[in-house]
Amino acid sequence: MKMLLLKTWRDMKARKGQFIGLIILVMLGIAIYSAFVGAASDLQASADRSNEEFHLADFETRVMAAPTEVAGEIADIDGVETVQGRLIVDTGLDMGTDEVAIRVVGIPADASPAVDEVDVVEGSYLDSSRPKRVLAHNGFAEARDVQVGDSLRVRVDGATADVEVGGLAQSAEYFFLRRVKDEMPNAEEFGVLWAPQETVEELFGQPDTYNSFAVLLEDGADRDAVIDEVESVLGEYYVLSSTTIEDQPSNFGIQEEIKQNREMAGLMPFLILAVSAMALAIAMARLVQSQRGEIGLSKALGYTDRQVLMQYLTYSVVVAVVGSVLGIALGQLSAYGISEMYRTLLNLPILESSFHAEVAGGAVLLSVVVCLVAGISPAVRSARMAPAKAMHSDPNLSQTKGRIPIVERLLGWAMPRTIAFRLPLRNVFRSRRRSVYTVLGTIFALVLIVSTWALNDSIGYLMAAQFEEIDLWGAAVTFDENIPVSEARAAADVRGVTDVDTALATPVTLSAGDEERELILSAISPDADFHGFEVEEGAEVEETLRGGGLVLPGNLARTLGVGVGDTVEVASPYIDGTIDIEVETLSKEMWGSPLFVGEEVGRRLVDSDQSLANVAYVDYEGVTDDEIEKALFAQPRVADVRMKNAVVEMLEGSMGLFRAVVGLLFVFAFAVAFVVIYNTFTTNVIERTREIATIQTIGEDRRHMAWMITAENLLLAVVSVPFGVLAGLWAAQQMFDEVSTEAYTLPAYISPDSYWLIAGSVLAILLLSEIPPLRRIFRMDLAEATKVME
Amino acid sequence: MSITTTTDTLVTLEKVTKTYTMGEVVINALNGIDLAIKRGEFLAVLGPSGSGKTTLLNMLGGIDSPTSGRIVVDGEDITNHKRKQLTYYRREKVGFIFQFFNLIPTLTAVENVRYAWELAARDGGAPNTRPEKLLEAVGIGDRANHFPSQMSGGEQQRVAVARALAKDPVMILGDEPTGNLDFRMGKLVLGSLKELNDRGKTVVLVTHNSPIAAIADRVLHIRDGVIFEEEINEHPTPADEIVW
Repeated sequence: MKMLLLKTWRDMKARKGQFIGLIILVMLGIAIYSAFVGAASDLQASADRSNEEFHLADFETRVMAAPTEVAGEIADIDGVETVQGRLIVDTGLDMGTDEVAIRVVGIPADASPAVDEVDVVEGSYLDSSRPKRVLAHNGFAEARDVQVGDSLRVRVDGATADVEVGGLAQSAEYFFLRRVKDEMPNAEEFGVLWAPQETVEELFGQPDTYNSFAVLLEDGADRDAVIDEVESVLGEYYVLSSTTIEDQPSNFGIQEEIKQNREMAGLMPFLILAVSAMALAIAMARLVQSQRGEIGLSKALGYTDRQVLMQYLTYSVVVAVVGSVLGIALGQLSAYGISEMYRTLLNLPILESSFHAEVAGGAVLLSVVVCLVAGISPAVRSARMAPAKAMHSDPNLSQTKGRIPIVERLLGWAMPRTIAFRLPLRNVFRSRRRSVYTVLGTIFALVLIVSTWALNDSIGYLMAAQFEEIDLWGAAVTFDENIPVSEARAAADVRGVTDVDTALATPVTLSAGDEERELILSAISPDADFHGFEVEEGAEVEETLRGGGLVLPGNLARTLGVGVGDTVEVASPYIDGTIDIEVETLSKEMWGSPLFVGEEVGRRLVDSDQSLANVAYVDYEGVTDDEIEKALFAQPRVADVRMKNAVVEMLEGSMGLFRAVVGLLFVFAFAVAFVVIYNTFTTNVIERTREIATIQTIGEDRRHMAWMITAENLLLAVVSVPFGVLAGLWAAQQMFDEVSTEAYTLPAYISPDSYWLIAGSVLAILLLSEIPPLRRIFRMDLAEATKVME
Repeated sequence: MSITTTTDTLVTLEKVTKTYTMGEVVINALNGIDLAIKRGEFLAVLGPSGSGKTTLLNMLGGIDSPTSGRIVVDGEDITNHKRKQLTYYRREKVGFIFQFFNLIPTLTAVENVRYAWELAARDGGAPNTRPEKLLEAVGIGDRANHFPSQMSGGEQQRVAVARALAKDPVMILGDEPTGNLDFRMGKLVLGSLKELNDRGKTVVLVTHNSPIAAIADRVLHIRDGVIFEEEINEHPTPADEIVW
């Protein structure tokens, strides 16, 4: 057996280029796997520790307005460890050149709140003797260049009030800076100010009032039961929502990012490892084929089937172990880089980075299993060879059966007759096995490239669809409470506005059977055109809105298990009990799960005789974004103005990290594709060493040799490209289906420009992959190579 | 051995050596060979395995270069030729016949011959004799459209002879061309080579088989990289009378 192992080692050295190629394939797969799984674990640990150290509330209950003393009643509920009452007001901040949305949170002036702790990172904490001193969110301060000591002008009911920034702070409640779950964080356009509770009460004219209760539970407390009791205590103050830690906007966003990272860790490495397995299986099959004589000889000398089997499986194990060890090292480095990038993006204060033995162990196990699966069939074939047959090699009988391919038979009359032209064509068809391997290798390479690039294009497509076909408004104005539609229209109708649509956006609980969702439902006029609808099924949207029906996103309907004609129950904070609404239209939404009803249903949901609105969507022209934003913010009752252009710009900006990750994956995919094709091409050359040497010996020059090899490879690539692109899109769709949620649908999409990019990449890979085999050809020892037995 | 060159001299080798290094072991495959080959000569190089006969043939064919010494073929000094120059040298002046035939399996017999013919035609006028005629000349005109896998070893080797001729080279080099043929087929191939020589082609044949060498006008005995004996054969044995 020692001799067989020695032979294995020498075979590896003899084909070191391919052997190293296979190791690199496994290494890349394992590196991606361990990088993303490791990063996801690190991020999870970082988020958990950050939440714990910053005492993120187990749940928060929001009400319209409640007296401060009610907090004591909540503290007395069994299971409640601590409760922190706050008065939270969303308003605007006059930044001079423009306006931004700001959330002012009232907290104790003398010490950090016990729940949803506020940690000062620069400057000093609040001071009860200086009521106008506030703390600014550190991310917001960085984005808007707010410094300690700066004065800020807070909008208070159309006027402004000055406050002074005494410090910069962070809080688990706003690591991921956003107000609601569906909102994209944008520190340029939204910030948080923590101010003394008394100051907030005074500024906004709500003395002794809390509208938010953040609760920490005792260990082992029944959260649902406590929430029920808290809501019962707060019942008379209009409970708007109770949000658990899982749905808390910041934490939810962080967990979603971690989840997507983890899903990416499961899909992309799987794809790369599958490609590695395929490449390994092909390489092994070819190795066994080329070593028939040696296998026969080994068996004739007395080595058992099992020993021969083990010899070839050793290949697989060595590739798996060396590849995974290198992959784990590379993955660990990458994991740290990815975690740090995400930590910065998510504004997490703590990074917990460690070596994950379980990930490393899993990676080694995964690669060994994958490589053994890939190698088992060729190895078994080698063990089963009959020695006499395996050793039999009659040079009088050419191994390859020549034939004129059907393409040449049909179209030969139109082709140049020169052998240098026809030879590549014949070579494509000479060995089905070799051509199939080459085509498969190229297809797999394309699958990686296309599916990776589809990540990039699909996000672009999603954004274009959302902002060009669905969000058909220029600015969205949020009012501080529900006001009559006519008032909302008047308030939004400032200079430059060409169209105003209003909506009553209400938090609702939608129930269908056993399924229940907390969602935002918008009551709108049938004539409203701020939202572009695409009907998947059911009645036209206008008809549904007029008829009192519900427009439900198709994705959501499917997860709820409802369809057109079914009835759902809807509860809102303004009414007791629920109202039944029939689903009449299923709409196609890309982002979020917006529900729409007509104004009449809206009135019933807020228990009002007149049509109310709390949002206005406007179009404008002839004025700049800053002008319209400022003008709208200056209107009475306006709490927030969102400019679509700013949202798009912010999203584009926030795509930086995403694009960096996609870029990284693309580089990995490119490298894998290169190795796969390089291995295939090199094997193609090795298997024809004598023939290629003979061609050179009879006088063929380098230029024509290179042309013939390139033409052959390009012909195979042409066959592979359509299949590869289709398979790549299919693989991308499978990946996207995994990561798509009720909140967004990601279609697998490749832009027309990207097809050129992909074609260019494939061509580049093909040409680059040819360089090593061509060098091998040009450096061949012709005297030796013309005698090689094939 | 001293060399005498005349206007009839096609090939001159002067003190040609070839040294291979394998690890720390130095192998002198050719050890100061002096040799002249006349135009139209049938030369056999006879020697056991490892004697250096194939190395000598490779030098003549331009698929290997000497460590020292000088090689001139048809007035062209190929000693220091670069790869590209050697490619053109092989294309224009040398026809190879290998022990294992080395036909291209995806080309038919006539296409194998035509490939060499096209190579020669690429740099100037096409050689006079068409590939089909060459196949007829070696007696396998009826197998022109067969692929190598459909032919016997002897037939394949005769295609190789026709391919070697297709370029109308100044010299044909045969490296154990009968080594993988049965007796009958071997004699047919030797007959083809003799016929070419009779028509004026210079043939250099490498063999370890002394009865086969009897077909040549001159036999060089080589051992340890040195020509130790030269035998002029006044009466070469006809191919059909050779027995081995």
